[in-house]
Amino acid sequence: MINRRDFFQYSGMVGVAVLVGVAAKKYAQSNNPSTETYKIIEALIDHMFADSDGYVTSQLNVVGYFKGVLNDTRISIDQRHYLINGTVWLDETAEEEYDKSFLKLTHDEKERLLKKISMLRWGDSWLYKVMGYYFETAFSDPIYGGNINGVGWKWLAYEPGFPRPNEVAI
Amino acid sequence: MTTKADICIIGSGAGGAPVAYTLAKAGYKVVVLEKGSLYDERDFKKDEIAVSRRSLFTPDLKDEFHMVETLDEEGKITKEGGWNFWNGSMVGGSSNLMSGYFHRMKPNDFKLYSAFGDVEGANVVDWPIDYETMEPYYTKVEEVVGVSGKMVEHPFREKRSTADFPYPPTWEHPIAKWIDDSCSKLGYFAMPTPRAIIPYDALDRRGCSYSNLCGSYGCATGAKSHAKSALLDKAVCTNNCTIIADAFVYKIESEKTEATAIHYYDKDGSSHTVQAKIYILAAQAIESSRLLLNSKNSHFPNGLANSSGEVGKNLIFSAGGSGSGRLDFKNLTQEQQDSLLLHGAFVNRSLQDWYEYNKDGKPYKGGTIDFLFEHANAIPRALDQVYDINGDLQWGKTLSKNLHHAFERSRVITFEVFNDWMPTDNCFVTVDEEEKDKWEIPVGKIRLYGHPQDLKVGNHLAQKAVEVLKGLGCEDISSNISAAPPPNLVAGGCRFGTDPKHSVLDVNCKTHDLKNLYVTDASFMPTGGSVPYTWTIYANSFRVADKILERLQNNV
Repeated sequence: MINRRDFFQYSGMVGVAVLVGVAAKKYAQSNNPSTETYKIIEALIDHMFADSDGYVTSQLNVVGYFKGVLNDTRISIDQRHYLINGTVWLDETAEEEYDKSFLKLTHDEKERLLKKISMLRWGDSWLYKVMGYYFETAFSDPIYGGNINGVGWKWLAYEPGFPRPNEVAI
Repeated sequence: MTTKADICIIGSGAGGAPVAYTLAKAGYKVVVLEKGSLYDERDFKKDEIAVSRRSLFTPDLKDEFHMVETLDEEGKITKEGGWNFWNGSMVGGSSNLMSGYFHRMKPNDFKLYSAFGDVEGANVVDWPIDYETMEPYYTKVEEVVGVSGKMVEHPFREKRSTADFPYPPTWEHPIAKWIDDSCSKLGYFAMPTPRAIIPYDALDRRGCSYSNLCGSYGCATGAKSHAKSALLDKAVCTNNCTIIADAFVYKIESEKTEATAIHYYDKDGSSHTVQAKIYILAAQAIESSRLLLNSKNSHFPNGLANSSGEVGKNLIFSAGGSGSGRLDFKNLTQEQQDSLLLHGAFVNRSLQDWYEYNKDGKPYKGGTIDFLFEHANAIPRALDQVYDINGDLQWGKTLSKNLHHAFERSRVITFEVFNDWMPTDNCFVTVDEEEKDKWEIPVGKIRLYGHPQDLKVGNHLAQKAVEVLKGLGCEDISSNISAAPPPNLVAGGCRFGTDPKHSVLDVNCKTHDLKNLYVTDASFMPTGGSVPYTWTIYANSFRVADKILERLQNNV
């Protein structure tokens, strides 16, 4: 069933990147933010989640997990494009508001920008989606390569169920 | 390639498996065709990403989907895709993924029209059988499939042929006693929820391992009484039952009075044929109607076995909804906090005090309330914290504080309400000739409509559940009763009845039109009762299996 917050994701596509490949057996990839998309995601997650629990976010393989998401064929191509497009829209808004890239904003400028876009339909929907994949990184089984050494589980004292997966099933 | 058998069953879930089990054990050759893949207990891991976030056990919606029509307030129809009505495409069907809250339907559920009269705008009818006819089969399910529980006195306790359940309740969480106390103070009769889970090794299966992730997940021990572990594995052991997985049946062929063959595509897209003396359709309600409608031929231009025009009509779901409240540790003793942090044990408490009730001088059919903990999946629990009370996104320190509170300093108790979904002319299945799945077969098109009485009754029950949560000391209590259909609780579309003009199936779930085609999933149900359907589906399938066996033995 469509999540009530997914309604906007199919409209206004811009800057669609080409997505190729299938999910690797090891889901997450290297933590290196190799493109602008991943640099923006890394900066965004750092801002949203590093304020008080920074030690968790820094130990998760966030960028690598998002690379896995963008190559995951179980996620529709539209959803993956939407994730990428949001980084473009975020950066465009930063340029409009502050005349510089999101990556160059100060902490307070990022905070004000995120507050602003979170009040817009696309911003609310896109940020919710990003947060969902961040939580996937933090709470997925370590075999997916994001939740390294179960640091996300330890963060909130979460007990996983058993038996745990011994391979990436998707 | 053509396979020959005595019985060919389409679908391997709770509707098909009892027939396979009964007839294979009696020595008849049975072929079961299942659209999904074959998994065993070793495949069932507690993998939230694969199972819950990527829907590993349901089809990819770009390959297989449904179209859904909804009505706005002015009666205008909107059609859209994107809904997910799949429940578990795998050998054993969606019973693999059930929570296993098992309640019998009650005597008045079998005669809703006689007991409560007409409801304006609804197509309420009595069943052609009564509770006494079904009772031995409910008992058979308890014993053969495996149901655990404990009978206690309560106002709507149904008659039983045995004193108690064959298996004692599963391990219960300390909160069960808190609920008992809360209900007792309110004058309510809390009862242990019967579960389709065996608490210890029995029936050639292992007992529950209390993994803390049960509903939505496959069972790694076989303790959950799903169709594969409980019945199909045993049917296969007779050497009379063959299960063909990854087999999508796209057509049932027929002459004027009998089905003659079924055709299916395998994983590679190659077509195969099965011929049998008797055909059983049990593909789950929506897909069973779709297959009949897609199997139209010169004898049945409106769909196979559809001379009545009733195939696909009167689709029903379980009405009701859910609610929750949070037990905050700041209000609890250390001992109570330690109790709440125990994971794995089941809440196992239900209320049926208002299975029937009077309001404003009018009698109503009510329903069932089940209590449980919030699902243990971490990701939705975290996402539940990202909006503040104004509906604004939050992050940073505020979110972090709320996450720690949600996961470490509180626990959410939830409730589910089950009441009748009134069958109406506005809730049905057809096929969409414009939209086709990956096999180029027209997909099912579902028209959704919830009758106002469904909400009225659901809200009445939810208010009672909220009182229990208040008694427990919960905060942030909310309830959500809506007309949104739960896709895993679907029935109807091929009503059984005595009148061939107004029903698809006869009293034994054989199609009126064809002498060798039966439908044994939840499609047969003209009304659904105020309980989850699975126990009744199992029981009815065992009942029909006995009728088919009798017929085969008598060569009729």
